[in-house]
Amino acid sequence: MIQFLLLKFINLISIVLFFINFNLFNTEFRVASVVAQHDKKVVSSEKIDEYITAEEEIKETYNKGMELFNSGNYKKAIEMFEIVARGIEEAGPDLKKEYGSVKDYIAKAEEKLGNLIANHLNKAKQSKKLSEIIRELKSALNIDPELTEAKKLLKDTEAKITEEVSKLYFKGVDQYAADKLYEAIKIWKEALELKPDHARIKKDLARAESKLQLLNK
Amino acid sequence: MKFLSSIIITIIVSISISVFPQEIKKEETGFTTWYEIYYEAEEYIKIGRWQDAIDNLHLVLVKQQKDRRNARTYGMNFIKEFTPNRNLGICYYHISDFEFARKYLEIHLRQFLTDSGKEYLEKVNIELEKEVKANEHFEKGRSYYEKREYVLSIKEMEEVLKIRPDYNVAKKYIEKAKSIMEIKNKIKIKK
Repeated sequence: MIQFLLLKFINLISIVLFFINFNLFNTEFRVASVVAQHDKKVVSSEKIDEYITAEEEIKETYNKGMELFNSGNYKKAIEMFEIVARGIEEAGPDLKKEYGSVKDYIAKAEEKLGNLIANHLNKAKQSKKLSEIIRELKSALNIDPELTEAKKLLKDTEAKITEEVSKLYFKGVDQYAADKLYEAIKIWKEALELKPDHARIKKDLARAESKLQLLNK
Repeated sequence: MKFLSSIIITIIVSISISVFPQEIKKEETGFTTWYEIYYEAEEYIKIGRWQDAIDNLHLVLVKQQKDRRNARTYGMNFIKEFTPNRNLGICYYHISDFEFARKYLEIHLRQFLTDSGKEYLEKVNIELEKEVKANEHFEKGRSYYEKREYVLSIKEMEEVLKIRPDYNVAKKYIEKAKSIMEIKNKIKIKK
């Protein structure tokens, strides 16, 4: 009988201990989950901060783009708008709504640039002055450095300029040799308009001008 | 005797005129000759003033088109190796205009075979091959950019810049891709 009572007592104690243990574990679990949730909250608030930063960055880039667009710097504006366009595609519908017009601005800027390029190319093709052709082609290439047509035209024109400058140089030499200093100076100045950095022509022009000055004294 | 001496005098005078014609012209006009422009070009090459050398050599080519040995300048004076075409090729190589460099080096080698001409043409061909490779990388990079694979795009554009550090369009693509990636990464954290 005593043995039976003792066993029952032990059983009872073990049951009580089990409940106590479970409770302790449960508390630990709850504490852990609360901590985790807290952490989660911290992390997600960081994420929100990052998101806000990203949104701010998009906004800033968009504003920069608008500023450049309004000042007529379409090339740089397109670069900015492209970043915004790609950025909002990643961001989701909220930003898409807000900055959706960016694609229209890209189209507008591209149209304006296209017109400018066409204008420069037309002027280059119509002009007969080599220096003007070079200027127009360089302006077109400044807008779009990958314009194959303009690149080829520029190379051809530069070759023509080299040829023309050489011709003018020796024409000037002949005039100089014949003591026609005014004519020589005029011709060399014409050559320098085509190639402003031509060291040889600059040197000879300076010589002719100083000789002319001496003669005029 | 008088007749003989007059003949001798005539011969001496005509020889001296034919031997020093350009010098006389120079003294009269105070002007430079093609070979002086050529010498000046060589000086420019020595100090690396490539564009000035190019300008001078184009002037020389108007008067003397052929690369050759022993080009007569005046009197009994000669330029041992007269190579305006080769020199132009070298100058264009140094300003990275490889197509023109090849053009003039090929003219040079058709007229007058020199080791340095061959050596430079090889160098130019290597550079032109590099340019082709750079363009291939650029096209790949652009295609990745269009597909929004920015990391790969940047990698390709960096390859372009390794070959041609002056490739500004590639630099711009890298900048754009990096900006987009920055925005993309920040948004990704939120998701």
